[in-house]
This record gives sequence, structure tokens and C-alpha cells, in this order.
Amino acid sequence: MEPIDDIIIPLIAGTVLLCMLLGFILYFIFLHYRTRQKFDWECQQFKHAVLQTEIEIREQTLTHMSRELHDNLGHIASLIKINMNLVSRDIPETDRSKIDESIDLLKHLIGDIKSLSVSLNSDRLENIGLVEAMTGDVTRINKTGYVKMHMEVKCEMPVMTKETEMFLYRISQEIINNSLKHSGAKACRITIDCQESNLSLMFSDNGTGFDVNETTKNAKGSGLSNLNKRCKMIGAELNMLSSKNSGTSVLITLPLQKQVAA
Amino acid sequence: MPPGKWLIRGVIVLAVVGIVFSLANTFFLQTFFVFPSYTLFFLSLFTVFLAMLSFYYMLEQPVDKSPTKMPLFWFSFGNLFFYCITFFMFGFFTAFVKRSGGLPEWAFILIFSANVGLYACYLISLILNKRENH
Repeated sequence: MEPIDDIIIPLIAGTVLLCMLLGFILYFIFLHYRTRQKFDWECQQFKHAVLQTEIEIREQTLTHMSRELHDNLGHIASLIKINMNLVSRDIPETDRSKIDESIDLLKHLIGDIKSLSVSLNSDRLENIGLVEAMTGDVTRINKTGYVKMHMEVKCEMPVMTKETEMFLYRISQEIINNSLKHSGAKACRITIDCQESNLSLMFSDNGTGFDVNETTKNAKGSGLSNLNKRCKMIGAELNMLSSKNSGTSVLITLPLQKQVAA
Repeated sequence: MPPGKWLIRGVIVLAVVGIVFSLANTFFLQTFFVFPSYTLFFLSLFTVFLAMLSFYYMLEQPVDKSPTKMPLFWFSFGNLFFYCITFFMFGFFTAFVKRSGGLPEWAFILIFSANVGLYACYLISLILNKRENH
């Protein structure tokens, strides 16, 4: 090899080598970014699938419970009622009051079992639709006299997939249950409205309320997180407004064109 | 996919081959009083191979984190950077020796900078690793 007169050749060669290294690192970072994006997407898909399976299992369990309630417990309660009616015939009228009272209680129980069975059964929801199913729940809750619930539907219900209806129904049940369990509310209101291309469901109560941020931060709000996840699965948005001693409002907005087939 | 067993075995076999080769080189080729360029060349290639393998591993095992926040990235980058300059020096060594009987002054500065860069990368890697463990 000829002697090198200056440092031009090593300089050029070194620069090329370092540029190649830099190019390699930049290409690696780009590839890594793309891989991460793919990984994130796969994680989301996996979570989605897990949640969907969880919901399917839950629906199956609820349907099974509903059938058991209706066919087994309801049947037994009806038989007890018939037996008590038969027994009451052989008892003098003066002693019948307790039996009659028990028969009334049994009627109540049978009615409650039926309505609970109906509210748990998602097959029925498919037949009667979201509004009817929710109205049934409202009527059942009003019957207890524990809370006064009012439901208002301001528009004609748009056509939705069965899955979306089922999701909205279960979400509304969860919100109502939370309100009954934790808020101590005496009045609740449900408003269903259609604005432009959105369907909105507004739930409000006059209960004790809570600090939404604090509850979410303290990880006590797994119910809230589940509600959020379910809403995301159907492409809906959940907004919750609440503070201590000022009731709670929950607004679910579902863009009708963007319905995600759950 | 984590690096398969065959890959780990391959790396171990290569490491063993490297040790045997180094010993053989010391005893039979470049003895104690000669610069062990063959051994160094083999070990440099082995290190570059491992660095490339680490990059491949990072792509195959993605985590939700920027690569610049991963200790393995800085460790491998440091090695690649250092051996990039080392191989460059290896390539021009004979020419430099022929020209002036030794390395020019700027070459020593370059080697010094490569070492500083390598240890800086190792330091970043150690700091990041410590943060990860906490």
C-alpha cells in the first residue's frame, strides 16, 4: 500500500463508518418504534378479547341464573303458594290471617323472582329492546319504594346492534346499582336523547356524591374503570360529574355511525 | 420470541472457542511478547456479534419504552461505537506504520475518545439499570 500523505482518506473512511453506525442506530430506533406500535396494538386487541370473553361469560352466567331463578326457585315458590292455599282451606277462618299474609308475601316473592329473572336474561333484551328492558328495571325499582326513579325518552330509539344494546343495558344496570348501593339517593333520573348523530344516556341522582378523581386514583373505582372499558368497547364516551354532597351525573355518549361491533 | 436455546448454546460455544483460540494463539502463534491481534480481532467480532444480537433481541422482545431508556441499548451502542473506531484503526494501522513508523497523534485522541464514549455508554447503562431495578 502506498504511504498516505495526509489524513484525508482516514477522515473520509472514519466519517463514512460513523455515518453508517449512526444510520444503523436511527434505523434501529425507527424499527423499534414500529415494533412498539405493533406491540401496543396487539396488547389492546388482547385486552379487548379478554374483556369480551369476560363479558360473554358473565352474560352466560346471568342467563343461566335467570333460568334457574325462573324455572327452579320460581316454580318451587309457586308450589309452596298452591300448598298454602290448600292448607288455608282446612284452617278455621279466624286462624287464616297468618297464612294469608304468608301467601301475600309469597306472591310478592314470585313477582320479584320473575322480574329479577327478566332483568338478568339477555335473550329477553333482544326481544323487547333497550328502552323496554330499562323501563322494566325502573318499574321494578320503583316498586320497592326505596327510591323514586324516573325515566324519560326524548327521541325515537335509533337502530343499534344487539351487542351495543346489551352493553348499554348492562352499563345502565351497573350505574343504577352503584347509585342504589353507594349514593343513598332518594331520586334518580334517566334521560335518553338523540343529538345530531349521537345517542346520549344521562343518569343523575341526588345522593351523597363522591370525588371522582380521588376514587379513580385510590383504585377503589374498579367499577368505574370497568364502565369506561365497556363504553370504549362500543365506541361510547363516559363522562362522570360528581362531588361530595352534590349528587352524581353520568353521561354516556354513543356516536351512532361509529358503533363498534362488540 | 426469546432467543432460543440453540442461540444461547451457540453463544456459549463461540465463547469457549474464543478462549481456546486465545490460549492457542498465545502458545503457538503470537506468543507472550507479541501484540495479540488475532485474539483481539476475534473478540472484537464476537462483541460486535453480541451487540447486534442484543439489538435483534430488543426488536423481538418489544417493551413499551423508548430504546434510549433501555440499559441494553446503551450497552450495545457503546460496544458498536467503540469497535467501529477500533476496526477503523485496525484498517489503517499498517498504512500509518509504513508512513511514519507509528500512529499519528490524532489517532491516539480518537482511541481515547472511543474509550471515553464506551465507558460513558456503560455508565448510562448502569444508571438506567439501577433505575429499572428500583
